[in-house]
Amino acid sequence: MTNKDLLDAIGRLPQDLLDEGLPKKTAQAAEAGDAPEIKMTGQPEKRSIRLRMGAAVAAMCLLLNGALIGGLILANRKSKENRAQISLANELSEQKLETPGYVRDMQDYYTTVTGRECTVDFTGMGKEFDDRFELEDGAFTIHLTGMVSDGFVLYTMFDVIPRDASEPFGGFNAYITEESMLGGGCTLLRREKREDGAENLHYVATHLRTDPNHLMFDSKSEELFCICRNKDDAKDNQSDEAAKPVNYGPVAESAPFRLDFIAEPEYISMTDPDFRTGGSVIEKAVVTPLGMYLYAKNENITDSAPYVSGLPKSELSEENEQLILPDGSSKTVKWLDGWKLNASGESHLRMLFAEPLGKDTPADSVIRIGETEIPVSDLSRYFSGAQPEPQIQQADNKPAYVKWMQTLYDTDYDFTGSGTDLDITWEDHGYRVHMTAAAGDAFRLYYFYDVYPLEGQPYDKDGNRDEYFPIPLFSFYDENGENLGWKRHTGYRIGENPLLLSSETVDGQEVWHMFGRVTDLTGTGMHGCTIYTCLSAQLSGLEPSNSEASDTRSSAEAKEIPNFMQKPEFRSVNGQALKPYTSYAVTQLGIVLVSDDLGELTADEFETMSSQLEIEQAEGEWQCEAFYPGKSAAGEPVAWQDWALSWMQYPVQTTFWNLAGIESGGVVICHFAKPLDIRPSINMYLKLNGVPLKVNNPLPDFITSDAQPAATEPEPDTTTATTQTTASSVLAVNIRAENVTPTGCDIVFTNDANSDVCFGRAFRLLNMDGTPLSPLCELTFTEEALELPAGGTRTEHYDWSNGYGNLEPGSYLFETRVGGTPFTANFTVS
Amino acid sequence: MHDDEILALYRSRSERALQEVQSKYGGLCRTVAMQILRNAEDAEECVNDMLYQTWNAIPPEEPVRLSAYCAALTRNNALNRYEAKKAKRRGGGELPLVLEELSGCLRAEDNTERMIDKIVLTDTIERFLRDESAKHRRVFLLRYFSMLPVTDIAAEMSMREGTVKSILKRMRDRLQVYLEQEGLL
Repeated sequence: MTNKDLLDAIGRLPQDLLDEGLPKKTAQAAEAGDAPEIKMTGQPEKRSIRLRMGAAVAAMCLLLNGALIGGLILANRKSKENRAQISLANELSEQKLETPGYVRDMQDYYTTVTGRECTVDFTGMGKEFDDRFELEDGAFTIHLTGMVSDGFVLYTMFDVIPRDASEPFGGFNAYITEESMLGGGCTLLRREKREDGAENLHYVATHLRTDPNHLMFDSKSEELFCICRNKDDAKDNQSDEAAKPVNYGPVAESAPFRLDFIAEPEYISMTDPDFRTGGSVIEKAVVTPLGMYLYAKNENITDSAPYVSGLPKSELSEENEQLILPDGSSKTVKWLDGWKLNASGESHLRMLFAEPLGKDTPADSVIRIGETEIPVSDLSRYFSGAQPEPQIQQADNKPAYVKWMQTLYDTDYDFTGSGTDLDITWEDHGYRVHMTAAAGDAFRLYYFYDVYPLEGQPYDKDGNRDEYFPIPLFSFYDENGENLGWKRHTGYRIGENPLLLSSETVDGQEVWHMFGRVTDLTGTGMHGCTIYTCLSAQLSGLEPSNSEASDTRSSAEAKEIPNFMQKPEFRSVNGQALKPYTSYAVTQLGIVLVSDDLGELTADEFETMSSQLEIEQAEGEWQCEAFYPGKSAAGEPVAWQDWALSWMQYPVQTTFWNLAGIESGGVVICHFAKPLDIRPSINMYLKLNGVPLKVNNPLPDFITSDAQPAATEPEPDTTTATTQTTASSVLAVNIRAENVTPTGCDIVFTNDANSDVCFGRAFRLLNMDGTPLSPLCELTFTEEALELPAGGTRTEHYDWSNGYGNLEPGSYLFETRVGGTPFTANFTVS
Repeated sequence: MHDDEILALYRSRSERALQEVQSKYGGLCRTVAMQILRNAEDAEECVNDMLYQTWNAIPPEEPVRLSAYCAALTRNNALNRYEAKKAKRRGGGELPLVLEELSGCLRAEDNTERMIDKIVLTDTIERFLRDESAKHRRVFLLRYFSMLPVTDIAAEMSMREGTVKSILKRMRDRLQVYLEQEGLL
């Protein structure tokens, strides 16, 4: 018997029973002859979110070569009436403990995060646990030791205890069942080597509340923990069943518990409705002992789109956007020193995590922010990543597509010749859609369109979009004139979600500037294909259910986009060393690596490629690095397409946000890079097995812009060991050799550029062969922003005793990133 | 138009019957289908299929409650359509949640499916539901027949969401015990 049988049986119940189960309000409306209009809420259904998360989580874990997924299932809510009483009882019970383990863990966590000893008493903010969960085959035991939360972030402390050293722990992430929860990742706090060679690992996992209407303080969990091993590879996560952990641990046996230690937060009302950061309207804020949280409602984002798609570009420009407040209040500035901004969850919440100062501090900070004389809106200028909304300007007579491409890529690069302006308008009862431009290279087409909501923005009472607007649809004709149909051609990937570039108000009419993209997956490029546009009348997506119907539902105003795409020039790769790639092409927008069949790779070849193939940056022009998935638990390469999908959904979690990778069926790999200062003589390197292979001057002939100066920089030397390595002529990173100790060193940063640079302290240590050192703890740097003014120099001491302990004598590589540019420098511990 | 009049149109083979059903129960049926499919176009096709099915079935069928009859047909169409599209997309709507919730009521034993007559199962569920209070029965059916989200059920029943969840949880537990007592598990 299956669940479907049960549902079918319910459907066969007598009609008098079924009549009771009909929604009365709808039935009444229907009987009154006023059948309600079915509205598409635009909000992704719960399951849909979970599926995406499930697939993404699986893919992330697989990316980490993960074979094990630990899961937390949090569900349901507790009644508000009992909250105060229960919290008091819980607080009293906590007082009986001298120093709960979770307090020590949280102190360790913040000490290592900030680099300063944290003595905050977290007592009462968490709960001790002593629950153990084991995989079916006993490979791993998860020992839950504590949980802490301030109502927004849930910290879960647990030990991973492997049975033996035969199977390394590959990763941990959360499987969340509530749509308002987001797994924030898992951080290694410490590791303990056992006599049998295995290692016990102690982790802190974080989960974020993303829905302001469903806060943690109002939550409890009835079905607590499960652990599972995900034996499926990524492709199975396409199905519903695979979104759920495959092999459960003792879920049913775990006792229900309540998150009673979480208190209801106190909100700050943002008085200035125009306060914006990156286009998001901040509605309210709250400060807790653990951070500051801003609820931002971006009115121009459709809830159906993944949040990354909807975010303005300025918010994606940095992985961790730095918030720097004015120096008017030293305490406030100090307290905010080290904050980072995480764009978490969907589009509604921005979280700022701060170093905790103790339970009494937030109220003080709340008052301080409320008392500031500075208009709240003025604070926006202190968001270093905030950028003004792009405006449509034709003043310099550049084509519209050039403007939009420059906005899209955030660059002054001249895209002239790579697109065409369009003037196609559709309109229905609710929206007018105006396609203005299309541009791209042979492998990716961007199309730009403006959406005018004719009747204002249709949001429901929960702030969700009521409807989708009509989305421009593309139809492809091949070189022989054959219509490939409205359905998605297997050779092309159509971006399925509307992507917001910016918005503005023109003559009182709101305009959403959107863009979409079509990407070639064949490896041969889209040149020669004639592309027509029409407007999808289907509410729920791009694809009509069948071609005949779509022709009748779609606008008759389909027009041809002039074929500006040029045939790419493929070049063969450098012999067998670059297996499995057989050819490559470089365009204005990226590099495309083509492989005939990745499926023929052996596991060893795949692993080698996964770990060591990379595209070296030459002269800082190409922000380009290859990302590859790991292997499944069975040792098989994971499906590229799934991995790419997850990456597309979570580019903010990657270091190189400006890349877009498309993989399909192991045929082609496209890497699109930010087209900054591309020069005809750029030197590209593909490095395999540690050996850089020069690809000479790969730019195809059709890039003939005279505006691009010739490059004369020498090729980078990645093998010479020096104490100073610079990847740019304007930024320099030096290690003071005389100050190198086994636990740290002094780094001198020099900025000879004309603009200020702001960067973080993130770093890692590697062996001289490029393999990273295994950290004792992943918390090896603070998140504070370091400013390096133009022409300035600053010296920072890096202490890695927490992360790597005392280094053995020998030579190592220090790797960090300044202004988006990676730097490595070697040093010797004597 | 009253249901009896609509059924009389069916019996006289007047196509106006379809218009009346569409007008009277179209919105209701679309709602049911939408909860499963989350796609307006697919939901509309389910309703159209339902109209076609009623045209072929009445007569000889004589629905006792035309609303429930149409809704059940639409629901069945939506479930079938969902299954058909399942391999093509990543699900959606309330169905995956409903299936997941009901998983606690059943044991996944391979041989069970062969042993259980679906009619017996329906009868057992009917007896179970008739033993429940009217309020609980309605909550259960709103969830597992109409597949309304918990929030909508709470609004429909003027309850808190937590109460609805609690009722559903307890009823699932009781149903499991009931099915076990009846030898169906």
